[in-house]
Amino acid sequence: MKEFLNSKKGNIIISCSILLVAVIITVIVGISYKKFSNYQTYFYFQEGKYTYSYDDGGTLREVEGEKSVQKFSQYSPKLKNTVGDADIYVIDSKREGPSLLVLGGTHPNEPSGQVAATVLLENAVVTRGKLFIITEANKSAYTHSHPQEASPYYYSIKTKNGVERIFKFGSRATNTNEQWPVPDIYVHSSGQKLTANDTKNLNRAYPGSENGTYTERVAYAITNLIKENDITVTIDLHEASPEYNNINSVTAHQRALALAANASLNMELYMDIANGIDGVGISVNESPFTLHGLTHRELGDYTNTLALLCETSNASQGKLRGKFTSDLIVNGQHDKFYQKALELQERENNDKIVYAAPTTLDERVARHVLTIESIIKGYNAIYNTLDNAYQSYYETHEAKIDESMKLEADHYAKLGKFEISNIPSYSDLNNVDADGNSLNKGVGYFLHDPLN
Amino acid sequence: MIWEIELLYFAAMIVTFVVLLLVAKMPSGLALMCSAVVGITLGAIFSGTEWNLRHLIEGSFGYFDTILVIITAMIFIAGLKASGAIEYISVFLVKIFKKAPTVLLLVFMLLVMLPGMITGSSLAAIVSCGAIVAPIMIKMGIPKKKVGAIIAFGAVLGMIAPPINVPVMVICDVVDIPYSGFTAPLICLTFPLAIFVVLWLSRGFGKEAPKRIGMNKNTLIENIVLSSILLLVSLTFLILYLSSPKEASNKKLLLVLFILFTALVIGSILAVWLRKPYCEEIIVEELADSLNLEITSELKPYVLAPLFIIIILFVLQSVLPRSVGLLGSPLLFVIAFIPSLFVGRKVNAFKVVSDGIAKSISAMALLIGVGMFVEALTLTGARGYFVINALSLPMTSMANQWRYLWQYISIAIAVPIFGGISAFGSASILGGPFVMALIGYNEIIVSSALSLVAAIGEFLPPTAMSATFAAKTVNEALDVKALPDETIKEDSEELDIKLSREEVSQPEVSQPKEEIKYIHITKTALVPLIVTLAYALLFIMFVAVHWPE
Repeated sequence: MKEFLNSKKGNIIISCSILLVAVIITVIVGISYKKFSNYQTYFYFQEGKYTYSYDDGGTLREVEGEKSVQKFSQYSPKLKNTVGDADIYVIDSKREGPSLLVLGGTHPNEPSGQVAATVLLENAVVTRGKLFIITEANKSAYTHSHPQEASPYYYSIKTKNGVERIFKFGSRATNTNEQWPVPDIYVHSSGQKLTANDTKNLNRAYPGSENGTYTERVAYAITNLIKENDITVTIDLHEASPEYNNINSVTAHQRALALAANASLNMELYMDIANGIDGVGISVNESPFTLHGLTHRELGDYTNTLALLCETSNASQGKLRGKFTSDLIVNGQHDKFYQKALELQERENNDKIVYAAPTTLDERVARHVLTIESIIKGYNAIYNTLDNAYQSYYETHEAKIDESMKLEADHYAKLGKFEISNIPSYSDLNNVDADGNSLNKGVGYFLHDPLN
Repeated sequence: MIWEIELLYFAAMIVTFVVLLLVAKMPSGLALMCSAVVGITLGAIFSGTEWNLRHLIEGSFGYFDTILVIITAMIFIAGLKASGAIEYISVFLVKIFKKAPTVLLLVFMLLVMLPGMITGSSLAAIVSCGAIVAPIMIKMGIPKKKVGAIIAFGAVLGMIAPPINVPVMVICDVVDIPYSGFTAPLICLTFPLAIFVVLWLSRGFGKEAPKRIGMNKNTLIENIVLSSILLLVSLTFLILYLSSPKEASNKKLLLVLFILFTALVIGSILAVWLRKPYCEEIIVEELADSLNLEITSELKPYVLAPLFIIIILFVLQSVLPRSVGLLGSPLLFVIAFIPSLFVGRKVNAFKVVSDGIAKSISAMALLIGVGMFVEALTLTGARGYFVINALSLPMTSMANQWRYLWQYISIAIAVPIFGGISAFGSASILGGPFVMALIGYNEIIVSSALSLVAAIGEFLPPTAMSATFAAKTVNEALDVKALPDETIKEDSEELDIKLSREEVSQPEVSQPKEEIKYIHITKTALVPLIVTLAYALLFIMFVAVHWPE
């Protein structure tokens, strides 16, 4: 045997068989990758007119709103005919008012953002203002998995009719097919240095550039969308690992800080006695001035929008997580090691390992949707009168109100309030109560059955 | 939390790896791949994780770019060898520094660090500059395992030294701080260590001390000059400390740095005086059997053009990251390789390229294996097992006041051990959480020091990345001489036989031909490794508290 192995013939046979095994594995994996890569997630959205009526000072008026789909390439032409040319769903009430952009799917390994955007897309009724929803902000990142993260390809949520809605779990970064090679170090247009991997991270690429890297072109599409439509509020939905210290939080650009504070107050006051929910805690952070490329910094600086970013606690993204199955994505609270870390933390009562206990996908989606709703409420409370708008500016700037602020506040005041209804409530979306008992509804209840 | 099923997966994977490596004599890359398959299978059976071949491919894709850098760097170096550039630069340096061999070694250390500093990859440093300096050091009489240890250390410290330190960038990414303000701390961490390591490793003591060498005038002068320069550095900090006003905010920091540097300076001076150098003076003529001494007159200096081109390209890459940077390091190596076909000896491009690729195959296999191994750890939850135990060790300690001590102990144990699988992985998986756990410490200093601790893993099993590559490099170091012209015309089929024949008939240099393994290098480097670990921990304990925000 040993002789055979050392002989030239033996050598060739062994090399060839290793090569053969490698080829077979590559072909099998290649086929399954291709299938995953081309899989299109289903989102229910019917383009066309819709009618609603509103009370105009005592008289009931009937108005026709419009639902339409735009493409990223309308705002960043070089994305035309590429994987990243994602859809922008627009629900336009055709009544003058403020506009809201909800950004889901920036990081495909943070599923609650995409699902929350989907829940809003399939349920919200807009009767004043405009709602823009993006469910797959970095579509290219949905076509592959992140190396060495061992993530499942898909996870599913049952609709109320018991049909599985399948969602993809992708990578944090743009696919190598679209952007390669990467430099040894990523230098953002502000001069900030980041790891090479962040070259392909959409939330480090803002404000983007029309002729830049693929990811910068995608970021440019979003920045340009906000500029061209003069979008009033932008909410970017994310998740973070439970051991990340800035979690269950809203990070706001300094101009949107008052709005975030008001929204957080709305969430603290949220109450559903029947289901034992008394307030949903969320922290507010100001966007750091030194950290560039993120939505809450650059969209706030480069456009007029009020930029906010939300984080929920996702076990499937954490470093402590145990075995990785698709169940971990949907039921993060079950993870063995996070449970142990929490037990230990409680017993020893000292430094934290876990900053927010990981929860179910339902809870995380419910939290995002409640945050969006609370921000809308907050906006309506703060910006509906000129005085309030001045006040919030005064507070956040700690300075005297100058002429440009007055003009902007004037602009907000003229736009008036959002009227967006039919947003599912926190307790309806979160199907497990505080004691872990299953409630009736859940996220699936608010999702449409897939077409086929 | 110690007794979990994930420990079984991890143990089974390690046992598979060791058995295949030592009993079945499999290459380490292949053994890692097999142990990954074992891990994935066990996870599927006992934990119900997905059994899918795609995890093997996805895991290895984590090193896609690194692999390309290694292949192209190897081809580049093969080009330099074939054109005569390496021999040229060896002869050139030896002639300049023949009277000051220790200074030459310090220059070598800097040379090895350079590619690591620019690209952030220790492997790039070893396969490029490491391969250039290793043969000269061997010819200076330094034992191969020490040569390996020096280049491995140079590469690792180069990876940590500024401007580019990937482990720190990875930590920054996890804890959301910008990668700026790291230059000074990283210089303080790496350069004093580099000097100490070279002086320590390039000399012998006790049993392993060189026999025939005493202390002649030349060595004496060199020792005195070196010691005085080192003392001067330490004194500068003392003067800075004494002259700074009492209420100055950085007073304590200066004192701490003075103490730390002085400790290293004393170590270095002890190394200089108590340990004997292997080489007092390089007698150039003695090298004639392995180096062509006439090469400096035979070839024109522009044979070094590819070397300068690559330096210029890498500098341009860091100056113009948004244009040249987008080309990627692999392409830069290829661009710099092309001129070596025309500037020196006649080069057979096909032969050189196939030679470069052949030499990088085991490197590629190792990286692919590590990628699969990490993916299997992640999938089965063994990675999480590692992290939770590392983070909870300080929490479970009995007395509260000892908690910080436990924190340091768990850093000292867990970070290098995981670094033995992947230094970058250790930085991202453990580094980030540890930075967050050490509240109140300067994040920049803690991240910098943690990156150094993680890099120690480059010497530790199962992968011992830098040590393994350094071993490979010193084992292959002796064929510096370009192949004689007649081999160039051989067609590819006869090539392999020719190559293997050459290996057999390699000229015997003063040392017996021995196969160096990574474990020899790690053992040799044990003292510097312990010093490095202690130095990094002291940085966290004392410097991180006083460093200004």
